[in-house]
Amino acid sequence: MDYEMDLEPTGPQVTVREAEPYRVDFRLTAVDLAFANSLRRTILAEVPTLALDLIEIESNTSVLPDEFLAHRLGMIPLNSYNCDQDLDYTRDCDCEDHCVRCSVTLSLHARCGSGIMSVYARDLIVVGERINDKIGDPVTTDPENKGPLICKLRKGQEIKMTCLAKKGTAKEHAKWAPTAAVGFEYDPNNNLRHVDYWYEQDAAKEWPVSENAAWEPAANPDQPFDYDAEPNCFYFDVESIGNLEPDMIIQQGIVSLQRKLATTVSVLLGEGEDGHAGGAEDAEMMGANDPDAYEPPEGIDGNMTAYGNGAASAWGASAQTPYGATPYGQSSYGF
Amino acid sequence: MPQRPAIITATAAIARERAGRIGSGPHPRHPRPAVPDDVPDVYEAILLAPGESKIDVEVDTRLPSAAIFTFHKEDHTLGNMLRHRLLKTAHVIFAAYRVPHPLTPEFQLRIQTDGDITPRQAVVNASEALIKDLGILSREFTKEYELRKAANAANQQQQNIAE
Repeated sequence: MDYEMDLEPTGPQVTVREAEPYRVDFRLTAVDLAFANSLRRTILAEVPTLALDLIEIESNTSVLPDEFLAHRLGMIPLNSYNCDQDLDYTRDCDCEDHCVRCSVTLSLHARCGSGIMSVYARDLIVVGERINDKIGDPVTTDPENKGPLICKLRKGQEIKMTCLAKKGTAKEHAKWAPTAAVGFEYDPNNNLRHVDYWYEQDAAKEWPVSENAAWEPAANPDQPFDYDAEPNCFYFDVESIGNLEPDMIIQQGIVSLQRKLATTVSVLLGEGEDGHAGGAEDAEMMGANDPDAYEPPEGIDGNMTAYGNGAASAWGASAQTPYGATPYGQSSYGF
Repeated sequence: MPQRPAIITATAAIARERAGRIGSGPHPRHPRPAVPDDVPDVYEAILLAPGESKIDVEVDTRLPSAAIFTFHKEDHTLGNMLRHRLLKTAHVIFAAYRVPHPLTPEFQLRIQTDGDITPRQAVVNASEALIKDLGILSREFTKEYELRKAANAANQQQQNIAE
């Protein structure tokens, strides 16, 4: 696997340009477009967070129907601190229905005595135990710490409900999205001509460049166009909705990608045990590779070498596998 | 007593609505079920069905050292990343992916190698290289983020002193 080192001697480079409590703006370089885009996609869709998923309504005499309220409650951002490690998906949990390891219970009870009462997210109160001391608290970012408005009650109206917050991802429902938006830009000067601008007289005058254009030079118009150029510098602007810290969103995105790849590796190397496609080829790797032995490497560099040796020895023999010994003959393809 | 007229009015309203609908458009022969049963469960797009394998490998017999990997419950996120890295991996002479239909959560990855390694090993190599790169990215990001936060804090302090 040394050739990988030659391709990218340093690996991805990051420059964090702005770090705010709910936002991080960074530049990612020395990666390819597919890598950067996969990071963007996984941040948008596959970072686990916590959201209200099951509402038990005891009493609702407000003007809003039960379903309406339940839907509104689902959208409220809840603190998802360390959600990925601490909490299980309810569907994977061993418990009967739900438990402290896969859910957080909140209660909402409001009754209007006089006038018009506004019920805010801060009125959601965590009841019972929870896995850590932050998870499940409604996110409040306004100066008065009220959080989003759930509904308004008139005199004598009451809502009383028990809400169950569960772990999920935005792939299942957008309420589990950790980000409001992920800004993504590359090649602000359009040097690569991936964008074909519409214009009336002059595209350069009518299309102002973004502020990211200050971070890289525009191509010299006298130079011939480089058809082989590839984008390698990407500008991310990740805006959290408050349930996860912006850096945690990025890290979780990375972890989710690593898990996908690790699953790929373990499935492909472990398949011989199940006797799937491959036959003799898979028989080669039996014994040499235990499918359960593979873990997504945390330290990465250290683990890779030990693992690589095992794989190399097992796969060295694969020249005589069905892939090599096809009717076409191995020799004609031996480069 | 006040409830009774209300019920009668509601029934009358429904009857009137039905009568109106017969004239204006087709009337549904059967009432709709409360939950439409043709809506697929959300989990079907995320979780592997019982007995479904994550990756199906099909050896392409038309060419030497070629195979089609079908990844279930995965999308462009993994497909495009793997394909792009495979193209840069040694011994790979062809790599492409496609999502056969946007409603089926799967993609197919087709790989041909020069015979020195199997397509399966090529995918494993590419995945491992990507895992390693993501690890580097994770560390780089943590380092840079902490640096930026420290710089912000220092700026804040200086401003406070100036005031």
